[in-house]
This record gives sequence, C-alpha cells and structure tokens, in this order.
Amino acid sequence: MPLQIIAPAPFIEAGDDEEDEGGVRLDLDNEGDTTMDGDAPAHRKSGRQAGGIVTPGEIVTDDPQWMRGHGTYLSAPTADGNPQSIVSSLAGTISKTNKLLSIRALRFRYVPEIGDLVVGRILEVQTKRWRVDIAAPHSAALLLSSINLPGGILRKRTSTDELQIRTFFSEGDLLVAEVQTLNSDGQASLHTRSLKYGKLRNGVFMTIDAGMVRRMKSHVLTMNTSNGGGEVDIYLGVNGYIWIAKHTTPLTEGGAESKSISITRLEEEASEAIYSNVNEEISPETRAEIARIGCVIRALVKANVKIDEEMLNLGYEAALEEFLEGFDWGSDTEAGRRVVDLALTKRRMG
Amino acid sequence: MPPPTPLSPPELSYLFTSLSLSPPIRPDLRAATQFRPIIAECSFLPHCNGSSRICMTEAGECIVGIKAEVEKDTTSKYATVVEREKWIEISVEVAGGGASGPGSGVGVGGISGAGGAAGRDEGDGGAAVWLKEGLLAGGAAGWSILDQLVISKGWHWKLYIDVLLLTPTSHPSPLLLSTAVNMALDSTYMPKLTSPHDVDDIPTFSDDWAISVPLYDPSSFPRPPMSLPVIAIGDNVFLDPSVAEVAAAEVGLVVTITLTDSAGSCDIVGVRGMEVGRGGGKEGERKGINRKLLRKMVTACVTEAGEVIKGLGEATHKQMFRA
Repeated sequence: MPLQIIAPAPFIEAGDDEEDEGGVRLDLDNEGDTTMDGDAPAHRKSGRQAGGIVTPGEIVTDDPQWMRGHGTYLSAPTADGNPQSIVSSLAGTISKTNKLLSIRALRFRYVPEIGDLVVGRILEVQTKRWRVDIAAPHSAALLLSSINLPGGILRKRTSTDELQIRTFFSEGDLLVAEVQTLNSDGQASLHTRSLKYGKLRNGVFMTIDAGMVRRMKSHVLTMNTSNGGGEVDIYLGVNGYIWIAKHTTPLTEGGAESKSISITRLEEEASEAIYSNVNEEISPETRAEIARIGCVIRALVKANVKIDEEMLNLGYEAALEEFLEGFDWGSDTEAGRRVVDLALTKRRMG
Repeated sequence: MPPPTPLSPPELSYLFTSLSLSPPIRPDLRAATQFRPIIAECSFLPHCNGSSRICMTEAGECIVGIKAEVEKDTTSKYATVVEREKWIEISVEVAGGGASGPGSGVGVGGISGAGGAAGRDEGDGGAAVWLKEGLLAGGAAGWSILDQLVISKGWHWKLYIDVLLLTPTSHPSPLLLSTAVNMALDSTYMPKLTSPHDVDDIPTFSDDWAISVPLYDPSSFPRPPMSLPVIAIGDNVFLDPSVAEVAAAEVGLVVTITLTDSAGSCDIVGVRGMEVGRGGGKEGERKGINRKLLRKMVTACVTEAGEVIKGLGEATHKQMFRA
C-alpha cells in the first residue's frame, strides 16, 4: 500500500512498582527513614529517582540537603515553615553531582559556544550585517567585516561592499560558519573568514535535533560513496543543521599548477566564485548517494543514535548492504530500523 | 515567528534538477507515489460523535471532533441548496496561532483562491471552505451527505466539524486536514432514531450507543472524501510532496476524491490549485500547465488514492471495533 498508517503508542500509566530498583530515592526524609509506607501516597510520588524523567512543575525533592542546579527552581516558601522544595523547570532526566541536582533536558535548543562549526540560514539583511538563523534561542549576527570579501586577503570593508551586501548573502542563503564571539545574552556572532567556510552549494539541507550531533574534532566529513557517487561532503553543524553536498575541490587547489600558491593569490582566485549561486554539474549517481546519506541520518536520529563520523560511515555501509538486497527506503518503513540495527551491530563487532 | 524562509537558490536548483530526472530522486528516496507514514487514531474524544487525531511529519498534529445537534428544519420544501449547506459547519483553528498563525496569510495548506471573500473572513484562509466543498460535492448519482443528515420530516442533524491544528509552527498540508476530517467522519455515529420517520413531532432517540447508526455506512459507497496534494516537476508527478518539494514545484493541485466501490476506484469531486514555489525558473516566471500534465496529475491521484482511502477506512474500523 502506498500509505502506512501507524496506530499511536499506547498510553502507559506510570506504575508505582519501581521501588525495588537500585537507584536512590531522593525523597527519604532522613537516611533510613522507614515511615514511607505510612506516608501519604502523594508525598511518595513527589520524590523521583535519579535517572527518571521529570516534567516542568514537578517536585523533584523537598529534602533540604539538596542544592538546586540548572533546570530547577525553588518553590514558593510556605507559611507554615515547611522547607521549600526543588521543582523542575524542564522536561528531562535528573542528574546528580554530589549534592547538586540538575535537570538535563530531553530536547533543547542549540546553545552556541565559541569555535562551533554551524550551518545557518540568512534571515535578514541589515546595513552592515546579516541576521542568521542557527537554531539557537537568538539568531546570530554575521558582520560584513567578518566575511571573506572578494579581491584580496582580509581587506577592510568599504562603502561599496556595504552597498553590495546582497551580492554576498541574501535572505534564505545557507552558509557554514564558525562562532566567533558570544555576547552576554548568549547571542552568537559568526565569521566565515576562512576558505573552509562560506556559502553552501551543490547539495541538500536537513535539520535534526541539536543534541543528536556528537561533538567531534572536525564537523566537515568527506565520504567516499559507492555506485559511482564519488565523494560527498557532509557539514554536520553542531546546531543540528546539516548540509550534504557533492565534494568540491577547495579553491585552494584549483587553477594554479603549483599547489603552493601564495595566500594572496588564492584569495583573489576565490574572490567572486565563493558567492556564486550556481550549482556545479552533479550526476544522478551522486544525487542518489546524497539522498541515501540523508536517509541514513534521519534513520539514526529516529532511533536516537547520536551522529558522528563512525556511526555515519557504518550506517551508510549498512544502507548499501540493504540496498544490494533490493530494499527500498521509500516504501519500506522498517528499512531505517534495520539499517540502524545493522550499523550498531557492526560498531559492537568493531 | 518569522515567516518561513525561502530556500536558497542553490538548494532550489538542486532539488528541481533531482526531481526532474528520470527516474526522479526525491530527497527521502521515496517513490513518486509513495506517501509518508502517518500516525492515526480515531474516536478518542468523549462527547463527540466522531473524532480523529493525525500526526504527520512536517505537517504536525491535528485533531478533529464532530458533534451533531438536532435542529428543526427551517427550510421550506423549496429549500435552496445554500440553506441546506448550513447543515454542516466546519471551523479550522490553529492552536495558539490566532490571527498570526501561519494559516492567516496564505491559507492553511496554501490552497489558492479557496472560498474567495467568504474564506478570507474566517482567518483560516479558506481551509474550512475547501474542506466543506469536498464534503458537499457528494458522489455519483446525486448522492449527498446532506440526505444522510435528515432525521425525519422537519428535523435534521446539524454537524459541527471542528478542526484544531495543534502545531502552529508547522507547514499544514491539505493532506493532514482532509485525512483527519475523513477519519473523523468515518468514525461518526449517530444515535438511532426510535420515533417514526414521517412524523412532525420532536424525534426521540435510543440511548444505546451499541445500536447507533454510522453516518457513512462502512459497507456502502461513496466513502468520505479526501484531498490529496499533488505536484509536478517537469514530466514527473509526485504525491504527498514535502514542503521543500512544493517550493521547487512548477505546478500544484489539490485533488479531492471519494471511493466509489470496494475495488478501490474513485470519483473526482474537486480539483483546486495549490500555491507552489517558482520551480526552476526565475522569480516571477512561472510555467503554465498543459492538458496532458494536468491529466497525468489527476490520474496519479485517482489510481493511488483508492488504496489510501481504503487503507484509512480499514484502520479506522479496526480501531473502532477493537476488543
């Protein structure tokens, strides 16, 4: 059938039979206090085990020995002198560090950090800067002075550049950049002052949850694909934005016979071409492999497996094996699951 | 919420070229007529005659509740069609979105020209209008849903169909709304009439829901209508397009169909244009559509949709009558 209909997951009542688990309950009045059985059930429910999931507004503990950390707040003081309880402000898991209680959110927005490689989309063009969507709580800023301006290395920006701002990036354009600075609100300022960064072409864009990208040494991967696909670049933005594109020989190597051309020369060559909006010729084979890599990423994320270079390679291999057995991503919804299982088995085997 | 950002030119051209290849390569490697899986359940709302909840990727989540009310027939025997059409009221709401929801400007699902002036007032950009249009269009041989709503002489049911889109930041596809309404209608049951049909008195009903009457008899046809978005790029036709695919499309249609027999053949009850991007061309340049392509698009819907509506109906009934 061309359409698959899935029944919703059944609603599971939270059972109360979790007491025999090894975790430490946080709501014991004192260590070894055994009056629990006589306590009101509401009280017993109010305490949660470390590792359990809490929701916003839920009381984590009312034991004063704990300190409140990220993702929690103290409830309003009560008149009758009862101790204030620590309440969760996020939906997530409890983590304990000595006596500090914090909640790690299950899903969260990307929080920029200096040096992160991010993929972003231009939201707005302003007079001397761009506003860039990087999936963070605030949109990031990209200053005209922190991009590669054509026509020479690191020259100062001029009023001509200001007038031509839209020839570099305009609304909707995708770019890869690095977080340069953060201001006090956590708003990021980006830069693309390296030939590694800049406008993105020749590929497809996809988004995943920011938490699903594992931080790695390098977030730009190049994969050798089979079926005549050639090399494919994957820009795994730390912010969960991903660009999968045909591998392009960096402009540093193009043109000149000798690879050791001067930096100045290289910048000149890079000049206009880096802001072009025209794709290269991309073969259908490459397109198919790009789409396959995209599907692998989606399948991994669906199965809650963090994305890193190893997983991606294993996943891709697994997808190829399944492909040889004649399966089809489109109609077979179990395919993703199988690929992930296969990839995980491979990782375990080493 | 800022308006959805357009795709960048390289993205668009990549997508456009991939989709106009033969065979086309969709970004998620789906076949051209393959639908994305949906999560569906029905008759879960208490106090509703029929209800459904649908989740789709990209389009988000939507719930529909159908309530029926007994109403005195104010229309005379010279009842005009317009008066009878008031027997069904559809409202589409975006949760938390209000006037600033994504549906306010371009219309939910981006269906162009839906409802004209009437649709504009409703704040949902006319989604209610085209949903109702498909519902009223009926089927072959003058069959109409309105006839099913007649209780007895002088009395009829008034149907309130309330569609609530729970994810205001999503891109609601016409498929989401119409699937939800389809499923809700399919699970709608009315209390059984115990008073005679031909009496003018206030009708009385049995309070036993076990013998209630389905609005759409599961064994009879046509089934409730369903609207399928379809786009064309080059000579390729795609069903259930994703948001990016719509942006790269050259032409888009929403085809409303009903199932007419158990073998899965369909009747077309409505075709509307859908707002699409600018395809491979420049801004402002849009290709027209020729008759051959139009026929191809509609045919694709008709040949595929039978299975889809049938499958949806089966899923509904399985959920309705599970032990």
